[in-house]
Amino acid sequence: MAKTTVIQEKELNVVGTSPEMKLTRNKVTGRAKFTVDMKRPGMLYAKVLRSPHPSAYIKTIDYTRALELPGVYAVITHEDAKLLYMPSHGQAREYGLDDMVRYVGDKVAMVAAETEELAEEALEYINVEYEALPAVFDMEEAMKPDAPVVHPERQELDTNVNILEISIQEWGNVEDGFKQADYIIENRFYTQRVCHCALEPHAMVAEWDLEGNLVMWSSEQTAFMIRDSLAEALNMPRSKIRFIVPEYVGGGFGGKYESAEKIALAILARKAGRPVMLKLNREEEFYTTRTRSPCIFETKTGVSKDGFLLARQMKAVVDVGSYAWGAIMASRAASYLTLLYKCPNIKYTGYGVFTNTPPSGAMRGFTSTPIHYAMESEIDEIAAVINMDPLEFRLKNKLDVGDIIPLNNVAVSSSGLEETMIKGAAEIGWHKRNPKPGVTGGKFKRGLGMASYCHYSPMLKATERSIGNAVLMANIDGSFHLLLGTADIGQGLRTIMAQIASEALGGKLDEIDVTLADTAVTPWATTTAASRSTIETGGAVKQAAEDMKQKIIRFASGIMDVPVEDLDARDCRVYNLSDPSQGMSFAEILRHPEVYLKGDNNLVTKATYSVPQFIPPYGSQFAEVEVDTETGEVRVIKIVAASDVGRAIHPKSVEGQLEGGIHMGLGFALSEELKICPETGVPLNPNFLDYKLFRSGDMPEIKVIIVEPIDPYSVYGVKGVGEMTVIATAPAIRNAIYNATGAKVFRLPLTSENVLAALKEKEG
Amino acid sequence: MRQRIIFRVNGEMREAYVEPKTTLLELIREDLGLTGAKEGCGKGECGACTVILDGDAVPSCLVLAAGIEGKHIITIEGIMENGKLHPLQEAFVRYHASQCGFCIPGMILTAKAYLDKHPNPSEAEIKNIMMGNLCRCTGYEKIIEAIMAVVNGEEF
Repeated sequence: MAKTTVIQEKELNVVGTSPEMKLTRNKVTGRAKFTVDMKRPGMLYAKVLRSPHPSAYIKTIDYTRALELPGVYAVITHEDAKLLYMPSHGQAREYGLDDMVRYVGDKVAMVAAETEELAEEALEYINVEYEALPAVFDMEEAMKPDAPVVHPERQELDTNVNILEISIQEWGNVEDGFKQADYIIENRFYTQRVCHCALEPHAMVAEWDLEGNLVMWSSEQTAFMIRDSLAEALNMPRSKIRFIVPEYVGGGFGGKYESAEKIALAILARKAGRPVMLKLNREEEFYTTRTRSPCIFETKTGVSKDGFLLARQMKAVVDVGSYAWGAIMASRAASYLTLLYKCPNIKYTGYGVFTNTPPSGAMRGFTSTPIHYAMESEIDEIAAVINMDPLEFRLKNKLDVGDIIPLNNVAVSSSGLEETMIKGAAEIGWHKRNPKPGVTGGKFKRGLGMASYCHYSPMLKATERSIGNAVLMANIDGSFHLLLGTADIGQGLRTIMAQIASEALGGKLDEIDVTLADTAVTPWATTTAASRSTIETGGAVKQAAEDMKQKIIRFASGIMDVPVEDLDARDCRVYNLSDPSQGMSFAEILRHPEVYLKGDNNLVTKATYSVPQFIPPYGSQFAEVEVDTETGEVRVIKIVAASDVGRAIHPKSVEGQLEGGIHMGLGFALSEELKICPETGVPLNPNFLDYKLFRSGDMPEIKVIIVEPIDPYSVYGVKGVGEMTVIATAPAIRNAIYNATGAKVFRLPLTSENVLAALKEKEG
Repeated sequence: MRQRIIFRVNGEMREAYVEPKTTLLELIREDLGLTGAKEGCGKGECGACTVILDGDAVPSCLVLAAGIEGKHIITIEGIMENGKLHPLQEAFVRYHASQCGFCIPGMILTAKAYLDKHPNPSEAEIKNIMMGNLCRCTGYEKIIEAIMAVVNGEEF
């Protein structure tokens, strides 16, 4: 296999440094305007009427009285928006508004009024007659043949209509593997429903003109994918929709690219004849904007007594809630069984199952986080059975550079996995680990645990969607505009892209302006998701910048009468390699009559970049915990996150991503769960008092270790870092609890109740 | 039903006519156009709407505007001096403490109110006083680092 790009970078000047983030001064002074800070002339406010039933047909809706309130401009129901759905939602269509509701909180109607307060009041004047239906809230119940049906429109399917998809993937033959195995270990794991909790609630504005053009502003992770979906749903040419992601988006984490409210809001704004803003409140954020799917994993693993994996079998049941983005969670989880450790025989069966619970969707560490809890806890279970150090077991079985990933028959292009294990272990003090679980300490017991991971992203196979685009425009003074379709949601994309452009161009970071995510202005892009932007869009930026540099150098070569190959550029200046004092600034070149008079001075370059193959981000997380064996309370003392990031373009922002991921991982491990009443389907804790995020004083000591095995296939060798550390925090803590106490916890979160139950089970 | 109130915002005298249920957050965002304070939850649980009211950091979504007669409110827009960022703001920039930035105005004001009264707190104390301000991006690491840099007398 030919390498498409071999990185032999000369000295890098900008990539690998941590300059001040662009626009950060606006953030610290309150100047940053988020979507919710917008005001359009004549703008109205929308509110959504939501269902109190988990499953019901809407028989009648009467909103006459609501419309009579002075200042109420429009009300829409399923009669306005019934057949409009988001095609990106695949088989699990969520309509703009439907005549059926499928979870408590589902959309029924939307009102536009002069103030939010009035819109809220108007909701009380809408009379809805429901025909309540039986509902199902448990994924395993929902799989039974006689279970209440979540999507009756799927009745024509022969399978159980609540099963969205069954995914079966097999490599080798697990039965053969189990026959050869000295030990067979079987376990059942459960992971819970959690929420993104970006601090900025979703906000969006829709505005039409009288020629049928729609403009939408929205706090979003993608402009183009939503624009494309809206065009399909509203049956409009894409060119008539301008979708703008404002410069400031208050965090996404997977929760900001598929809210179906946008279809309804567009229709509402058209009916009202005014711009309309919809802001969701925190409660709506919790259960109407997608959640991480709860999962059950049943694992069976065969291992030889000398510690080699021989067969791995897994059945995954994924609760996709009432609507889903598709069954990706159920099918893609299989990949992880192939990405970390060698094993000749693997079988995976995944079920995506509808229930009458909040919709599911992508969330940071999408598809990888729940399954790693099962996989990496299972590794420690195996190590205990064969009496081997779990670090040693992982080192022995890990995939190395050049090993073929069974999933796609591609060799691992780079790997820092071993380095993350060794460096992480040294930092946590692995040698101090209890040789036998639960033997030291009294009431309070301490222990160490670890877990490794790899994150699959869509770049696993280069598909048409794994491309990045960039447009770079020069001004005659030697400053530049970079136009990119991806969004900066707080991760710092704007700065990272400017760094790449500056490096490849020989430009000045401060003089590169970056415009993002406006479908009328920037080139098409996928989403700011799946840890893809730096690799995907960064590849295009580098190419466009290199082309720009070559054009400028060619001009300079003519003017200076020096061959092109003797010239290079840095800090917006072309110079002679053999005599760096001889040179011209970009401005001098672009203003030079030879260039200027030919009209060549306003240069534009553009590039499309296709990610050549999967770029694997690996890592290992280590945890030190203290368990109160009387209460089951777990205190995390330290987390070490050794992370293979390929190359850190902006090391401080890489640290920020890794630290933030640990925060989310700690919540997933210990404290976060959106609870749904098993009788009524009502969300029980949709607020920050009862749904517990880690706060500053709750955080343990954190140590982030960056490992940089430069990948040969990606721009400057980078890997996607946005999701890494959320993935393995929970199993590392779980394994540390085992090392401390000998208690085996199979259910997340690791609350004192769940840990105490495991401690009691251990006592027998 | 509107009530006239006179108060100070960022040093300036202001008057406003407010409904009994208008919150301080609504007053500063809607009437005064000071949108640096954000509504993250509307229930005083996240700290994104924090302002300084007569020296104390408070969640402005829980304060009724009618009750601020005669009081002094400091918002994130009001802590620059002579066109220069406040040392805490400069520290948040230097230490890359802000990712999405939505929680940051509240973070800085909570820290400022405390440091104005307690100039030499320990790191544990800082972690404790920041408990009311949620951040989903940073894991708080660089936020605490930035505040401690100011506490430790770093030049900004």
